[in-house]
Amino acid sequence: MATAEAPVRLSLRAGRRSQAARSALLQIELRRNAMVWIAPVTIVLFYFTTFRPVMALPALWGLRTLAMQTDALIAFGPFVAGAAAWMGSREGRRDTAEMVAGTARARWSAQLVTWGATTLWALASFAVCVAAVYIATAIQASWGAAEWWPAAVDAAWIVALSAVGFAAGAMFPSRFAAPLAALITAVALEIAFRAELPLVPLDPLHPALRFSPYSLALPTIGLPLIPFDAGIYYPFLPDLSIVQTMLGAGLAAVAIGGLGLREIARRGARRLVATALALTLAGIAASLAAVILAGGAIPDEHGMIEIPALHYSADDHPYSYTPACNAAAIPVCVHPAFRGELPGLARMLRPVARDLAGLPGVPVRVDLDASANNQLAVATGTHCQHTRNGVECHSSALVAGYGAGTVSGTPPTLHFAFDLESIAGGTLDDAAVQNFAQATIGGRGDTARAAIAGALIHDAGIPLGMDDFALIAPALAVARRFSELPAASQRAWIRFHWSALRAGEITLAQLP
Amino acid sequence: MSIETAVAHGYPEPRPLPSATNIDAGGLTRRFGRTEAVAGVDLCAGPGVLGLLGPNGAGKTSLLRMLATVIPPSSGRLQLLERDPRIHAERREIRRRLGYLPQNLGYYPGFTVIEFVEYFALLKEMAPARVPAAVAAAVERVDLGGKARARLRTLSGGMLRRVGIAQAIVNDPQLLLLDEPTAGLDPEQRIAFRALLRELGESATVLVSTHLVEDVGAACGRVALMESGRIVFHGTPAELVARGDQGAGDAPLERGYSAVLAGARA
Repeated sequence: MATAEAPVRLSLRAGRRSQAARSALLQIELRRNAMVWIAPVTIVLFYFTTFRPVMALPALWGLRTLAMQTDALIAFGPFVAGAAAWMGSREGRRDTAEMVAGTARARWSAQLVTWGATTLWALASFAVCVAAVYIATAIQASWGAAEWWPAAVDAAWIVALSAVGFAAGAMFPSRFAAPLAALITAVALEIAFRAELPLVPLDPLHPALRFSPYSLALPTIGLPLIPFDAGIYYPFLPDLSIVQTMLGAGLAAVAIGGLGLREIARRGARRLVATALALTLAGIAASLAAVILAGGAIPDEHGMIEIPALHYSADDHPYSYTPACNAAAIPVCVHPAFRGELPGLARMLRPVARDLAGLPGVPVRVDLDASANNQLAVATGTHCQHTRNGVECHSSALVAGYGAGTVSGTPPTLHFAFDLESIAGGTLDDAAVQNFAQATIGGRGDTARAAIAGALIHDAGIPLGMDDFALIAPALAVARRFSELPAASQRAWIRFHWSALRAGEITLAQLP
Repeated sequence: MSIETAVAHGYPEPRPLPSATNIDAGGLTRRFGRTEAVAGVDLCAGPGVLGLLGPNGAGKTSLLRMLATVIPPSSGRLQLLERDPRIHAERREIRRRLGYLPQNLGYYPGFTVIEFVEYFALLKEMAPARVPAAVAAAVERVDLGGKARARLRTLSGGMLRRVGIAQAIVNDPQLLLLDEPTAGLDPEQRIAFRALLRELGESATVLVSTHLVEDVGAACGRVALMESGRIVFHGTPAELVARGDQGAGDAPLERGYSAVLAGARA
């Protein structure tokens, strides 16, 4: 029995010794790593390029974390790739390759420790930044739980960029390896971001927008494709994040495994070569699978990207919540996540509600709903569909009623969905008033109704312009005149003439 | 000059070959493209200090690199520490017992002396528990105890050379290969280094490639002379001195060196 146990004990001892040696090597590499000096720079850069813009957004988990996902790579990507290339090229630059080659530990194994230390520092500095965003959001957010997928995507890509940079530095060692790796990464990220640019809703009638599976699998695809209220009304779909994480992890495995394949030329251990080969093949498989899966992406009915092969049907069920409502004459109800918007909405709606509350057809309640459709599609007047080439968004007729609410139900309730621009730009209150006035009085094509609606909007403190409710110059003048009347007179006139006004029987000339 | 006279001049007396053959090479060649850097070397060496002399381009460094298992031979037989370096597991065992200081000493400027030597001790797969004491001993042996915590970027060229020697001897190697180890050392350090070589040579095979024949005379029990990729002389320093009657040079060893070279070229 004792003789049978002896080899096991020896093997365990050797394993522990090897572990202790790796740990000791890692400690040295952690102490003397270029990333130690780069980490503070990335943190400062993250503060300016990511943290501040992200904190300027409403405290919604999905919105902030998705914005962080796309922006954080700008701060980290080039620096991590550069530092990794610097460390990877160390033996070549410092002429120690010969000495290292004459040691018992396999070169790849030693390189893995160096790469591991570099990546640990990069991930640690990223974790500090992520923690800042998440803690601040946790303090400010009134609803929901942290979305970890965007952070996981970034972490996978930081590992990938570190691996690719390290492998490039090790294969082409020179003092230029680091700046070149950083520059190439910066340019690649810029190109990836530019692939998103057509998504910016500048032109409602933009020609067909198409996304290849490759661009969908990149971590730079984030917010524009995913609604800002993702994870509020419906669970955050991790499908696209899983694919992006897979591609990052796959690239990392290919880079590190590929570096290990050089052990073949060094007559390395078969076990090591087999491990490197397996890692490379697994990386290629993961990368290909990610791109193929991204090719099957479809926009789901709630505006997120669904990948059928990865989709979890439980994510299709809406979250149950109790709306937060105020106690105004016409109460406004919002999702608890937007509770902070209630006081402003109530203040803005007060003059309009004061004049219209209780009149026939006037909503008794205002509900702010989910953005309902793909934010991009709504904003640009496009609709997206899945094709053989991936997700394609085509121009369609201008989406009527964007920003305009609809009145439905008994008793009548005004529903409208707000957009990212209005909530991020602090114009949600304006949008609510305009929606309410337009949906209630309806000004299009009827200058008298448009003038009354305009006057009420003006009363709420929103400056009138020619663009509002198609106010032609005479109507604009009437609207201003009406809004200058005492509140009681306005209310009395509207209540007396409400039926005739709604029926279109009052002309501009008949207005006071 | 006879061997007796050479011994009388202070050169080490020839000793019989030790029983353990740590280097056993036969017909060893190494080609780089069309250039044959090592052209059929036969060399056997046991414990002791063996000096490797030869002009530039003689193939000394290529031979050392093969013995350090950094490059494989193109042909020939090679056994190191009674193991076959072509087999991975045996090569790994050789490397665990090997110390190697290459001609171009590289270093990491941000590392301290201790860290650098510790780093190589760990790469040589020394037991981690043994490493701190071994590192301290190696650093002391090269007289860098006072600079143990200094960053390498702050050291002089000679000190860096000693750091290189420290990393080579940290694992108490059975086979120590030193390529130009005394380049950059001041005379005092060279004298100390020769003493260290003699001490190491009592238990290990130390192969020192150098252009400084006085180092060979003072520290090496045997000397090999390479020319055009071949060993043209292998014997004791006294035997080399004895061959120097027709040679040119200021010192007896230099005359032996030049005489053997002239003979080989002729």
